[in-house]
Amino acid sequence: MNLLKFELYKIYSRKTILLGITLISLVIIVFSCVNYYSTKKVMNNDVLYPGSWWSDHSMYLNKLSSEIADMKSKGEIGFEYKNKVLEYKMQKAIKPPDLQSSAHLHSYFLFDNSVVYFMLGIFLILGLPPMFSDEYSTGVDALILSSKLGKGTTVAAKILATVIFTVIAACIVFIVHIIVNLLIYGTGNLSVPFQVMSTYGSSPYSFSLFGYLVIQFLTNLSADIMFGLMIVTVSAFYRNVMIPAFVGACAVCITCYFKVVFPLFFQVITDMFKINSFFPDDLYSNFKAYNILGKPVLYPQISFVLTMIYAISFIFIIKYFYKRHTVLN
Amino acid sequence: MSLLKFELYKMFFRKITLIFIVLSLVFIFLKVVQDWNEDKMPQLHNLVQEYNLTNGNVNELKKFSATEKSNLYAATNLFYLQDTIGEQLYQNEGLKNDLTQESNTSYQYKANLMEQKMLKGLLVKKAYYFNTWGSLINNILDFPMAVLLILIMVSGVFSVEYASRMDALILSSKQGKRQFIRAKIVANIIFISIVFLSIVSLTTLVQIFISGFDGWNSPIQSLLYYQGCPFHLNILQYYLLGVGILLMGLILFSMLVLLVSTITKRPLTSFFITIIISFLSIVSMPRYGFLKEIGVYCDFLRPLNLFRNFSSYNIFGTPVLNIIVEPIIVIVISIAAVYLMSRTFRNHQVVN
Repeated sequence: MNLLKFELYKIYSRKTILLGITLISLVIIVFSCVNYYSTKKVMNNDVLYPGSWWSDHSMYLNKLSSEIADMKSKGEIGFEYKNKVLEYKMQKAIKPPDLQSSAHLHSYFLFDNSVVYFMLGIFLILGLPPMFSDEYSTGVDALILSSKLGKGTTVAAKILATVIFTVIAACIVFIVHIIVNLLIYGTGNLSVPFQVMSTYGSSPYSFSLFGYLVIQFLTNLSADIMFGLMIVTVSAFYRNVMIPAFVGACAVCITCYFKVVFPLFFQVITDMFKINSFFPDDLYSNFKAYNILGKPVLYPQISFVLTMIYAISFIFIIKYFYKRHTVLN
Repeated sequence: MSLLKFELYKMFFRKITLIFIVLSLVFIFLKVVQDWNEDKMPQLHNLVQEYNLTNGNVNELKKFSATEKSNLYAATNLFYLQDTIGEQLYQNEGLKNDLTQESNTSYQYKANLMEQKMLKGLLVKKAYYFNTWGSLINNILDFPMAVLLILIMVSGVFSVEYASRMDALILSSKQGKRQFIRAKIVANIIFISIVFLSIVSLTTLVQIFISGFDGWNSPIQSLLYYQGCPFHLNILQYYLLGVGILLMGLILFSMLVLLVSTITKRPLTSFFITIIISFLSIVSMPRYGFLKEIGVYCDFLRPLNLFRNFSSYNIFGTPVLNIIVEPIIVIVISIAAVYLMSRTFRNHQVVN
């Protein structure tokens, strides 16, 4: 407990963190204001109604059910069939929306968060690399190793501190983003199904706008924790602070790059490379399931499980490596 | 001279450089393999020739689905040629209308007249096949992630010395502060040029080796985002020009990065500030109101912005092209950055 307090103190007492929070908040505020002023004329009082989505949805349901019947009559009851049935069930389970309700067009800005995610990733790079590297380079690790607390306790404290820092950073950045947007556009109606936004028109998940905001945050948080642990893992190997920072920056850039440029050919690789939970829009915008032992398993579930597996394996790598760490002078 | 050698040695023999080189090699390979669509390309080549012979009566075009089409946008202008022609005609009509409305002496009139003159004869009417060059321009000039990473690599040049207490040693050596700064700047320029040019030439060679040299002389207006470009260039000329501009922008922008690293004490802080300013200017500098003038750097780190549309500056009532004015602004800012940098470093003292 004591150790954890020290670790957190070490992270938060740096002036850089304060600078980082200020700069990131500034960037988010400037972006939101520029978005507002540049689209002010276009979307004066534009409102989204769920009506057109709902009629498309019922047409799509009919198409799905006829396809399923067709496949059944032909006797094709393989993975494709199960996949279709699952999608049909999920689409069917969406409750009919209140057709009079409406959302403001600004919800697009509340949900288009790529800049926020990017900034969050950079903020983690600012905070986490010194976790082990600083101690190696200043020689404090010799002191720590000779203290009466064991290596296991030290590593546990560091990992806990990483997770806590990540959660706090994500909360701060998201709260700033949401508050700024709500201040500019007003709260609006967040109980409308999130399919009113055309990007998510064919999504089979039944979330409201608010529910999707929460889900998006949690998905991104899981990816962030994994990313933070990855940076700390690299930092456990090197004395130089810049190496974990650079590796982290490469990972964030590649994540953006993959999302933008690799739509088709490498789909399977990128899907499995945790990356989409960093930018969750792709995760929930369509129905997508993978063949696991003949059963269709939903893509967000797989993505979450993979993220957690990576995170846990990073923890084990850190522990394994740090237990073998010796001081050379 | 020996200082310069040491600086270069420090920059090239870092683990970061190694990581960057390995990653970019992997990426070049992945990108090229992904873009190359072996079955489709010979067919496309034939389609383009058929299209030009029959004036657009090609039935096979309808067989492509929407996603297939959008994946082939970098290879040929077949699929959006009709839209291009429509847009260009619309643009010319708009210009003519504007000319009749404005008075003869206003700046807007002169600018419109200039744009009309420049756009004359640049209308694209034929289909072209330019797979190699389309994807090269797409990968290197339009979305320069490599630029961001190179800037990150040079971000800690001074603050690393501060953090490792090497500055005390440097300040007490017999070489002066001025020589030291000069060595740093020159080493920085050499490092950036070598890394950037080697990546660009490697990508170009691999791409040409895989998908051939065809289409180098098609006009730049046949590319997807460049329909309104007012310059008379072909794709190869534009590619070389764009690489040159990007390199120049990179070197000039790195002076700002070095300035940041002389001010900050920790390498991580200068790293963070570098990422924020370069992300803003590369990816999404909001081009709105007064921010437009601040964002000149973003034109140099993304040549697309410089060539996309006609844009001119009002200098004493005469329109001057952005390609003449903006380099001057950027160079002035960079010289100021170099001056400030040497000033901060000269005032730097070691505190223990």
